[in-house]
Amino acid sequence: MSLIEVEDLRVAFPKAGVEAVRGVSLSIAPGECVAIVGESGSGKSVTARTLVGLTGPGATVTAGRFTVKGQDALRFGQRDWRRLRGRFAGLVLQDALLSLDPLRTVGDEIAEVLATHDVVSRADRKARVIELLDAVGVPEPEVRARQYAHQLSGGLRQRALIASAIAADPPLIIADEPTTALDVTVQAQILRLLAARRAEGTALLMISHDLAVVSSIADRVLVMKDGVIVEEGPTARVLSAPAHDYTRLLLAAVPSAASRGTRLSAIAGGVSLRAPLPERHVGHGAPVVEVSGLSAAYGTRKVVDDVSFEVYPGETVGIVGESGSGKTTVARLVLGLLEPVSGGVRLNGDPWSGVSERRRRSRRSGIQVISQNPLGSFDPRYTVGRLIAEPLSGSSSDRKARVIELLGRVGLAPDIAGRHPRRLSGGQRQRVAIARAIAPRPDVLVCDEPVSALDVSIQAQVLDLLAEIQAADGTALIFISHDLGVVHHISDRVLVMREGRVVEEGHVDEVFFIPKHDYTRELLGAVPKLAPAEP
Amino acid sequence: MTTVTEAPQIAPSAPTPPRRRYGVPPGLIPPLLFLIVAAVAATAPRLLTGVDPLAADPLHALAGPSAGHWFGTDHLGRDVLARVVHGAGHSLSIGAAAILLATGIGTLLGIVAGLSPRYLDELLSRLFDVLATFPELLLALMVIAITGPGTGNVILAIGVAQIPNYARVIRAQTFVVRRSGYVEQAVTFGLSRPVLVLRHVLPNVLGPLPVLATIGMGTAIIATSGLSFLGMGPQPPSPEWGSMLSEARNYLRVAPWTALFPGLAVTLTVISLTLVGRRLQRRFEGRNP
Repeated sequence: MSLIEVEDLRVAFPKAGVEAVRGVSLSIAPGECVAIVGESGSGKSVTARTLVGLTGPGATVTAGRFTVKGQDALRFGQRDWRRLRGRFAGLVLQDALLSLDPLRTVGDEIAEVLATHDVVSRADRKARVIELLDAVGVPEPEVRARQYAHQLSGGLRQRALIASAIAADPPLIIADEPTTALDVTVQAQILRLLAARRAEGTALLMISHDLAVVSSIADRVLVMKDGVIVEEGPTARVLSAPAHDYTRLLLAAVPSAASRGTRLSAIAGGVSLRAPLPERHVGHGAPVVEVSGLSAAYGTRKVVDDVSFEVYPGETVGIVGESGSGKTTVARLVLGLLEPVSGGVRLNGDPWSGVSERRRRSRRSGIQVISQNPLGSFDPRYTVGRLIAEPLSGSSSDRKARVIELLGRVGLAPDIAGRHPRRLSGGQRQRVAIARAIAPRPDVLVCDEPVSALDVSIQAQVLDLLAEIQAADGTALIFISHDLGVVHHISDRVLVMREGRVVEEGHVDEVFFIPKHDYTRELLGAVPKLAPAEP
Repeated sequence: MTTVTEAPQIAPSAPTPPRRRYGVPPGLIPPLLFLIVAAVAATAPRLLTGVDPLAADPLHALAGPSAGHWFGTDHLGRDVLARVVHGAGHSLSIGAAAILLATGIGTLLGIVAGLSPRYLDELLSRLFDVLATFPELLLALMVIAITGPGTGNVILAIGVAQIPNYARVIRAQTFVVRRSGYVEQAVTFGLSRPVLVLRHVLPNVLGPLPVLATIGMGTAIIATSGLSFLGMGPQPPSPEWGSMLSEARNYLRVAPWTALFPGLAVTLTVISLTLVGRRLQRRFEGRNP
């Protein structure tokens, strides 16, 4: 008997006029791992929440058949659902900091699940909490149980959340993007932990935007788009021989070593994937940016320590590292937004750090930035046209014409100029940010996690756009990312950073295929590969 | 730092927010209507009443509400309705002028503090803190004690008392804007500091000001009435809600209407301003991503 079985599930939010889920059928057998993969807005999270009765107020749920443990779930009230949650299905959400009560210790949080479902006697509860924390690999469980969520690192928080999800020993765990906010090495640990629970017989429903993440763990994959499951099947089959165009597009959009030099997105109107990108010319001779012995500190804490590298015209230098490795600080130093403690930056051969802002001002057009959150870098009062025109000079009609031209270059229609960025999608916003960054014709673009917040198909388009611009203008890129696949796809050379230091650097193929440093190896080993799980 | 955590908020297909509905929510119609009437009373009282607020008629003193005198008459037989209507001009203009003074100086000081080097900011901030520890009315009374009573002095007193409120909010807002992504971005365009401040910092700092001023105006009107009640405001016989209340104090038992109507005027004005202000505030906050 299936744990959960649902046919023709429909979830609508009539007030917002949205039908988020439109006819989904799925079943989860005991001990099975099923994954729902899709981009944001596909309805995957709503589906998962509906399965445990957490659709939220204002939603109408209908289904041809909806059984949980053989009981008709369409007739469940809140009370029935409450009894099921925790006991029957443990829920693990993306952000443990939001899911854990900030006013209670981690131990209390887990104990609550034990108390609600009467799993162990009151006297044994404390010991059981420690056991659970230990089981999910939290070091020093006695200490951690007395701490609050904000005192734990992201990885430990996620483990604590999993501990509370499995506290009542449910036969099913529903994990909604459980590793999205985590660094790649921590992600690998969490995935191993979930896999271990599975090996012990717990069924797993995994929701993710990342095909690679689910491929290592799922038996079956359901690909969801616009509220509909467009393809489903055994993981190996879906990944190796996708039947639906959308699945193919998703798979082709994943950047990796194999995708170097090719387009990740389909060319407009065509379905041909992985077309070659335009030829790019890397200059030799004088570097555009020279960084030597750069160090920076916040207070007494050194965040960047003796970093040196050069960037040549038309070249892409990738910087990879986990959160806190100092990547963004390097970007700020190179941009001249932060003064180094020692060492220096030269731009086009002349000193860039250590000179007054007044003297830098006229040269600022030579170096521009694209950040992760374009909306935050836009003056909230500005329209798209005004944003892009700001770094431009010349008469107002000249600038207007340039804005239209730039919008065209980034693939946006001219009428977007009058719109407000808040009314644009994430991908469109990033295109606006790119148009603005290339407006003053810079020699070098600093890209700080420019695609991290984007869905994989949008990420593919933006990466292709950057490659086109680079080929046409000969702009050098400093590309900062935590995503090794993206960096491998786009970079010529790469620097691997850890705790403010560059631990390894070189040609991207050399570093990624023949890593010399242990940390690089650890990072690469942690990256989930797009390969079906061993049967 | 890698903040993939933000992904869901700014994810590309995050549905565009539902189109904002224009038009006034039904709950706001009464306060808005009341404020419109109050504004008419303040600017053109003759439109609402033809009766002279100063015309005394001792024969009909302390008469209850009737067809001839809707709100009744006071101890000198003056029409209470006419006095309430004419009083709006005093109460509202004093409140508005005081807020103008407070927002003007408060904003200036707040921005200066927010943009200055640390020691100057510390100095100004401590000054605001010290001023803010005094209750507003007490501070206003202290100013009056120095300047003496009168309309102009009441404006000065209430304005000065409110300065720290605005200065502190604007200073905090300046800090936020100054460190925002868009100001940093503007630095990378090579804008000079004055241009940067005028073009990006100032307009974004001033955003919440109309909202704050609307809510502050309610406080100022209460303070105005309070000071007038104590005899510090416009001197009799000018009608002013606070001083009307003060005069009515002695006749509460025999002629409660002499206190009721000016009291209602103050209360309803403040409630209306607060309701409208809160609504503006919600709207403003919803607008800012």
